[in-house]
Amino acid sequence: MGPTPIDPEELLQRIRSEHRTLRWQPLAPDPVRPGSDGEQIRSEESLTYLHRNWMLPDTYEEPGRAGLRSKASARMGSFVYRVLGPYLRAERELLAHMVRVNDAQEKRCDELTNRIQELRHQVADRQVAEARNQAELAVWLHQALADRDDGNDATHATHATDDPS
Amino acid sequence: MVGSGRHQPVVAVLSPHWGLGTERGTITRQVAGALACSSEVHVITPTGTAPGTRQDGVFTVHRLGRGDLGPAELRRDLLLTAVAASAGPGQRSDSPDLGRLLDRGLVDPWTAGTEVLGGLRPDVIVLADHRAVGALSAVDRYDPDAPVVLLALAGGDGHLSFPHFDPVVERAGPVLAVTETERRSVADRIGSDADVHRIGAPLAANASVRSEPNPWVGDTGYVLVLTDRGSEDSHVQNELARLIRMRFSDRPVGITHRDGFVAWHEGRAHSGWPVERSSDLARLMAFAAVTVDLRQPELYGRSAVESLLYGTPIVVADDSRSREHAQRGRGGLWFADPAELLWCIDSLLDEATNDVMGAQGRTYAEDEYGSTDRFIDRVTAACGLDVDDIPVVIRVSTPA
Repeated sequence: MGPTPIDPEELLQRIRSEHRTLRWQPLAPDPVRPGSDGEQIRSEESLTYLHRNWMLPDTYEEPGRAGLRSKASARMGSFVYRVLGPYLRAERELLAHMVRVNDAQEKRCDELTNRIQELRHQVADRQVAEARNQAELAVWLHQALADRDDGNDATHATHATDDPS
Repeated sequence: MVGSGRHQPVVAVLSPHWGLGTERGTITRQVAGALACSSEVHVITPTGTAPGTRQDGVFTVHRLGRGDLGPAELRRDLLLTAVAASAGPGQRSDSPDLGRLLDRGLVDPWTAGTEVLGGLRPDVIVLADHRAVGALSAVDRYDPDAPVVLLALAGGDGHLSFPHFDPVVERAGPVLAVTETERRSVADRIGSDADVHRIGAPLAANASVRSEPNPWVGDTGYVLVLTDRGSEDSHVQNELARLIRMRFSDRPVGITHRDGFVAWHEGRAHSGWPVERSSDLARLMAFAAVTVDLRQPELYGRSAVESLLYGTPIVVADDSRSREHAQRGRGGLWFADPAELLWCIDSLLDEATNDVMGAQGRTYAEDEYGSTDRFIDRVTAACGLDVDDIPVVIRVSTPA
C-alpha cells in the first residue's frame, strides 16, 4: 500500500488553523562554547630559527690546526673567552628568556586567534537564528494584524446594520 | 472538412505575433504545430517590416508587413488596466469611444489579411487571442460564415471580462483553452461550456538535467525562489524572497533574479549568472526541495508544470494561474499573504509531505502536460479535424 494521498486544500486549512496561536518566543542566549585547538603559527620561519640558534657555546673550541700561528691564535682565543665568559653566560640566559617569552606570546596569540574564529562562527550562527526567529514573529504579527482588522471591519459592519438611522 | 481538389485540409492561423519567448507565443506555435500533423498550416500575422511569404518549418508564414504591434498593444493593455481599476468585472460598459481607443493601431494592420484568406480558402480559421478584434474583422470581410476556432489565450489579466472582446469569443465555434481555469472563465463568459476545450500544453522533463546539479546550490534540498525582478528592485517579489531566505536561513535558498542568481545559506550570499537557458532552470528545479514561483505567469505557468514534472512541489500565489497545478494537480500549496507563504514552504519541507505531494504533482503533470501525442489529438479533435489523419510516424509513441 502506498503513502496516504494528501489533499492540498485540507492541508492548507490545517496549516492555517495551527498557526492561529502564537508559538513564538525570543531565543534564549546560546551557551558559550569552549575554544578549540585550531591552527597555530609555529611554522613561522623566524620563530623556528630562534628555537634552533638561541644557544651560545659553553667553551672555547680550539681550531686544532698545526703551526705556530695557529697555536698563538688558540691561546689568544682561550684567554679572551675566559675574560668574557661571565658576560657571555649572562647573554645566553637573556636570550633563553627572550625565546621563552616569545614562545609564550606565540602560544597566546594562537589561542586568541582560535577564540576569535570561534566567536565569529558563534555570532554568525546567532544572527542566522535571530533572523529566522524574527521572520517568524513578523509573519505572525502580520497575520494577527490582518485578523484584527477583519474583526474590526465585521464589528463596524454589525454596528452599521444595528444603527436604526 | 477537406476542400475540393485538396488532399488535406488547409488551416489559417491568424496571430498578432509569430515567435517564441512568451507563453502566448509558444502555445500558439504549439497549436499550429499540432494542426500541421494533419493539415496544411498557413500563419497570417500583421508583423514584419515588409509584406511577404516564407516557409518556417512546416508552416507557411504570411507577414502583412505592418511593423511591431507592441506599442499599440501596450496602450490597449494600459487602458484596460485603468478601466479595470475603476470598474468591477460586471460594470464594464462597451462604449464606442472606449472601443475606438482600444482598437487604435490594432485593426488596420489586419486589412491585407482578408486578401490572403481569399487566396488560401482555408477549411478552418484559428484566431489566436480572444482580443484579436482586428483579425476577426479580416475574417468577416473574407467570409462572415467561415468556420472559426478561437485559441483563447485568456491570461490572468482579466481582459476576457471586457465586453469589447465578446464578439471574438461569440463568433468562434470551438474555443481552445490551455488550463481548466481558463476553460471555466471562457465558459462563464459565453454561458456554456459545450464547445470549450482544455488542450493543455506539450511539455517534457529533460532527463539529462538530473546528472548535473547547479554548482551554487548543489543537491542540498534547497528552496528555489523564482522572481522576474532585478535583485535591487523595490518590489513585493523581492520582499517575499528576502523573508524566505531569512526564515529558512538554515538551509540553502536559491533566488533567481532578472540580473543574476543568488544562493543564500546561513546569512551568506553567493552570486551567479542570470538563469537564462531553460535547461539551467530545469536543473535548478530538478534538485530543489520546493519551487516557490512568485511571478504572475502570463497564461498557464509553464515553470510550475515543469517543476512538477521533476517531482518538485510548488508554492504559488493564490491569484496566480499556476494555482491550478497546485490545487487540481495536488502538487503544492498556494498563499494569500506572507505568513501563509512561509507556512506553506515549511509544510512542504517536511519529508513525508514533500514525497507525497511531489509524486502527486508529477502524476498530474505527466497526465495533463507530458504527452505530445495527447496534445495533438486534443487540438485536432477540438478543431473538428480527423485524428485518424495524423500519420503514425509523427507520434512519439504508438498509442495502446
